[in-house]
Amino acid sequence: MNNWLDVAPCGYLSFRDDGTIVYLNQTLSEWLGYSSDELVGSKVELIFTVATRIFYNTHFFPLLKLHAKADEIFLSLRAKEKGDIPVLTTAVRRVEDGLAINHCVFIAIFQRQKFEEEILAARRAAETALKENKHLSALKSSLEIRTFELERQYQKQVTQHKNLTQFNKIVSHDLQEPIRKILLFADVLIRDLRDTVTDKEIRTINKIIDASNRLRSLTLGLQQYLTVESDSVDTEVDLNTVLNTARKKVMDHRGLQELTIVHEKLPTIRAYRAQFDLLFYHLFDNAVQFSDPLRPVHININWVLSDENLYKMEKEKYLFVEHLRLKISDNGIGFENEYREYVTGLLNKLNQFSDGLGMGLSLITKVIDNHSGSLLIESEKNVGTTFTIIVPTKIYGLSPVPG
Amino acid sequence: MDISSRNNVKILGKGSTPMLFAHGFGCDQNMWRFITPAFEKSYKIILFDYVGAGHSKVSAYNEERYANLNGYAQDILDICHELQLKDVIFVGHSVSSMIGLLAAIKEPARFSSLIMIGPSPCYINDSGYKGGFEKRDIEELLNTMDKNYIGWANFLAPAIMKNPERPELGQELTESFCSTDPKIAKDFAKATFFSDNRADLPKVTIRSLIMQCSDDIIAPNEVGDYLHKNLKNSTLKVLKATGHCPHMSEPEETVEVIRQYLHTTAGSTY
Repeated sequence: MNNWLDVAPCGYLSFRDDGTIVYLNQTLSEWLGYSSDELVGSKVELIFTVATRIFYNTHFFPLLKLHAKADEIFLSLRAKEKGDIPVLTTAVRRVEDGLAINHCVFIAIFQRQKFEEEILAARRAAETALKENKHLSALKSSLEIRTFELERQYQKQVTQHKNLTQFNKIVSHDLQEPIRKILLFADVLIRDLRDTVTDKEIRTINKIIDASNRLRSLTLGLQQYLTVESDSVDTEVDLNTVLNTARKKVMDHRGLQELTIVHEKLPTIRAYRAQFDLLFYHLFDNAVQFSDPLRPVHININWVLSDENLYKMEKEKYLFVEHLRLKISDNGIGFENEYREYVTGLLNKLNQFSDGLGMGLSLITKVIDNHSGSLLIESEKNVGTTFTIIVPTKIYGLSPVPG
Repeated sequence: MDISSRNNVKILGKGSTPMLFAHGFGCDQNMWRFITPAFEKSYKIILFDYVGAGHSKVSAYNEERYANLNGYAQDILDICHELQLKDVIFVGHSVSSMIGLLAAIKEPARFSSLIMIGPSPCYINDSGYKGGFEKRDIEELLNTMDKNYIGWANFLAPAIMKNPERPELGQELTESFCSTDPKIAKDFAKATFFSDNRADLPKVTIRSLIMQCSDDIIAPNEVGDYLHKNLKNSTLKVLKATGHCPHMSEPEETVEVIRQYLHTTAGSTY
């Protein structure tokens, strides 16, 4: 029986789960140019081409192990000296006395190999053509839809822009004047009445002055919000400089002697500088504004570069490019909301957090939107808030494909 | 479509600490079946198939997304978000080690440790770096996969459905094993073997275990050493198991090494 197997017109091989060859027939040993002694005890991978080794590890062996059989698998055997042998393999896994042995039969397929190569080449060509065709027609229809969408968006934008310009003018000029007058006349009132006025009346007038001042800062904030535009020119922005400028500005504004910001050296990215100044300013100002009176403000910043999808709105488009993940954590009072994720760019959602956040957070969101980025907010009450800003490390203009 | 059905997420185990198992290239979550029973008592085990593999929803497959390991890393993060997982013990086989690593760079708070079985940050040789393969080897692999598509499409599927020899494996296995679409499998092979994550290694902040097999041609010893040198807070453990699938060929040793690692406190070695 053994003799017959040795002269059978097929290769025959047995190996253990750890890959150790336990038996091979004479035919296989002749094909490979190894003696049986050379191979028994060696690893089965020795007689595979490199690609077949990968395929063995990722497909063939897992299939055999889980399924106890593998049928009609194409492999390439590597002979000791003279070239590769394409084979079709059928294998079974048998467990006897607790020991698993994998038995394989190899049929050499030199002729069929040529035939298959031809079929495959034809299929690949057909697939490529089909794919390109499909791709083109899909592109064509989506282009039409997009063009129409863009047209509508454009019309809307033009109207909106007109309205915004008008609104901006109202906020920055027309509204300022009455506020200025209220403040002026309140002063006049105090001065004219200073001899007859009661303390109660003074307090009332001061309330008018306070409210007017608040109205003034609100209109200034609104004006700032409206003028954050994305049509500025991007430059190399050293975030360390941005950080220091913003820190100083917040300290001046809030009358602070010290503001602790712990960070490693920050990177330089391509961005809109003025907008990043605003972004950092409002992040730090937020931290101060919503700090816990029981502990001094402590801001921690860390960052990492990672590849993220540049497309944020298009659901089916992916282009992974380098992004900066900037994590800014404070030890403030936190939000009432529980763990929050992926609150990206949605003004209306952010406004739900609390009244006080209003302008700062909206500005932050707008700046990040202008940079095609996204924002994650996680907050825990009485512990603090972490803002994770994810922005591309450069501005992608009309063509998103990196050059 | 919710993420759990998209990625065919299965949750088992009696514990609360999450342990997420990510399968490698060429298979699906069933490859963990020899490992998970050992952890069911003390951990919450999460199994899944990447989109395009096993019983995931193939309709969610996107060529652009999954041409990049970051697209696969997003699958991991999507699952963590949907299940609200934190401090996950991530166990990844082969290419999933790097996929988990990318996820852990993006959202470190989600993970407590990375357990990597047969990892490699780069498969192709480069000047001064030995990944184990040349570009032409990978091209030949893609060709081998093409050849087996012929066999699989016409023959293997019905054969698997019958499965007369191994009824004990159960129906779900017979239906799911390696049911990956061949086109998707080839895309995954390209994303895997042409990836280079060497520059990402220093970005990892959490601890990691590198399980290096003996005689692993896909991730040779030099690659394990390279990883250990470049990953802060990593532990290198060379297994007695040979080959690239110790969780299938030597599940007992694999379980034992993982168990020991989990019992050591962060930062210490054993």
